[in-house]
Formats: sequence, C-alpha cells, structure tokens
Amino acid sequence: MTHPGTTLEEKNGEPLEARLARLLDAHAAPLSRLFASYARSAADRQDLAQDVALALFTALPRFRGDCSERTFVFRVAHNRALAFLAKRGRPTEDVDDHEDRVVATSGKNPALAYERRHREARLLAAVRALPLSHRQVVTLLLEGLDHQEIADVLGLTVNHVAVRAHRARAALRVLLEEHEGST
Amino acid sequence: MTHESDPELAGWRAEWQTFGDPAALDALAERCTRDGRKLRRGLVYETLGAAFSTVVLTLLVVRTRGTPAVAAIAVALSIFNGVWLARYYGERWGLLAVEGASVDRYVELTRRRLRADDSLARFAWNAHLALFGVVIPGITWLLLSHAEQYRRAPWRAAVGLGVALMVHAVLFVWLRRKRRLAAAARERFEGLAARSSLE
Repeated sequence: MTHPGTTLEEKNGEPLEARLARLLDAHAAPLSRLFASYARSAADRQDLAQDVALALFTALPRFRGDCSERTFVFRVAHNRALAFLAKRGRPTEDVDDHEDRVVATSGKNPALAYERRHREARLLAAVRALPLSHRQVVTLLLEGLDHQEIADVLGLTVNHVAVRAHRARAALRVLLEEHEGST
Repeated sequence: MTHESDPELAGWRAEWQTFGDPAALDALAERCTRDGRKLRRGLVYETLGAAFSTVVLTLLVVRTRGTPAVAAIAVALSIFNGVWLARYYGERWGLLAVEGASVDRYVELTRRRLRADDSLARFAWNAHLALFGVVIPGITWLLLSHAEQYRRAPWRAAVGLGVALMVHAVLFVWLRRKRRLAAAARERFEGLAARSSLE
C-alpha cells in the first residue's frame, strides 16, 4: 500500500539527484534541528548533514512508499545520527560557547540578541542533555510526529514509544526547571 | 491525548520549531537580494550626485570668474566629493558579484554591506561636520568682504547664503537619520540571521 503522504513514489520519473534535492529542501528545517540535537559544533553538524544526504541518496531507490516521506527521512536521519554518535563519541563544543559566540557577533545590541538566543537555546540545551533513547523520542515529538509515526521511525511498538515519551518528557521538564533555576 | 489539549507539548513545539525557521530563511534570502539591488542603485545615485555637484561648482567658479572665496569653497567641496566617492567605492569593492550565490554567501555579503553602510554613514556625518567647519567661516568671510554689495542688494545675501545654509541644514538632518537607520538595519539583520539559523 502506498502511504497517502508519499510524494517520492509519484515522481519516480525524475532523476535521483533531483528527488534528493527536493527531499532535503522540503525537510531542511526539521533536519537542521535534528542535526543540532545530535551534533554541537557547526563542523559536526555539517559532517552529519553530509552523512544523512549520502544515506538518503543510497536509500531513495529502495523507497517504495510504505510510509510517509517524513517518516522515511527521519528514519534514515536518526539511523545516521546514531552511527555518527557512535563514531564521534564526545561532543566537540559546549552550548555556552555557542551562546558566547552569538553575543560576540550580534551587532549593536548584544544584550537583546543574547536574551533572545538564550531563551531559544535553553530548550536545545535541555534536549541535548537527555539520554539518547529519550532524545530520539523527544526530537520527533517536538517535530510534531505522533506515537505511531515515532514508532515507525525508530522501529519500536507504539506502547514502547508511549512509555519512553512519558519518561522523556518528565526528564525534559526537570532539565528545563533546573535551567530556569540556574538563571 | 491529543496535542491540542497538551499545552506543555504545544509550547515546547512552538519554541523548538523556531530553530532553523524556513520562513525566516526565506525572508533573509529576500532581504539579501533586495539589498543587492539597493547597493547598485546607491552606487549610481552617489556617482550622479557627485557629478552633478561638480558641474554646479564648476559653473559657479566660471560665472564668478574665479573669485577666491567661491573657488576655495568649490575646491573644498570637490575634494570632499572625491574623497567621498573613493571611500564609497572602496567600501563596496567586491560586494557586487553575488548573483546565484548561496544564502550563506548572501548573508556574509549582506553583513559586510551593512557594516560598510554603517561605517559610511558615520564617515558622512563626520565629514559633514568638518565641511560645515569650512563653509561657515567661508560664508562669514564672504559676507564681511562683500558687505557693501550685500547692503545694496540684501536679497543676494538672503538667497545665496540662505540656500547654502538650508542645504547644510537638510544634509544635517538627512545624515543623522541615515546614521540611525544604518545602525538599526544592522541590528535587524542580525536578529533575522539569528532566527533563521542554528549558528
């Protein structure tokens, strides 16, 4: 059965490179957030982006529309992110460094820019601090996927996803409260 | 439980999805393209403005048969025009060839352009103050040295010197506004760039 959300299957006539470009363009923002939750430095995010693009290029010809395009992209990206983490080990840059750099380059009013980025970065910092199994579920939840879609991406049962999501959200809540308390 | 009835998750999602916001990225790309067009227009206007004022100054010198005061003011203004144009082109050098470049390249170039705009606006303001310092003594000298002539025909003083002062007053207000706008534009751009990227 072809999933109703599938668009890749309908355009099988177009070259693979064009399909890949369209896919990356359509999911650019969610992918950039996913990369940011797994890789802290810009160089690492770029490496991960290249890994994912290559993996999508390889997997595209085998994609038969048995799930939505979004699920397919996230599944490939998450698998590559896990491999990337296993390969890289420790993160290369801390969130605080990231904020400091923003302050240094934010023009005439660094205080305002800092405050804005600080608010935005708090959630990213909390997500990055979650254990991997929780982070996987949370990033997909935050992208708007429901439990069934998350189960499809991660290869888990819906019940398992529900349990992980519950625990992950509790952990995220605690981290955000700790962050609030420390500022 | 639906997500609509889960305000905590909805709030997190809204916050999360501001990262790498594609709408902000589109706005950024559009802003960069618009700035490129504005830059080209600016170069044409500045060149035409300098050419026009040089022609007017030359005509003035010819009409007054090279009166020392008029010639001195004309030379001062012409030097200013030359320095201004040289600085303008110098600041803009290498910022024009951006067609077909990536958004990252646009962002980098726009950042440099805005920095150049800011620097030019400050330079123009300081140069105007310096020019004012030359023009005021020049006008005073002109008034004193031609006092008898101006007493016989006061309208000459009112029209000639009045226009010169008015031009400077308009420039004063315009340059001050331009300086403020350049600083505000830089700040807005950095905000947009920060919203559209995780950098």
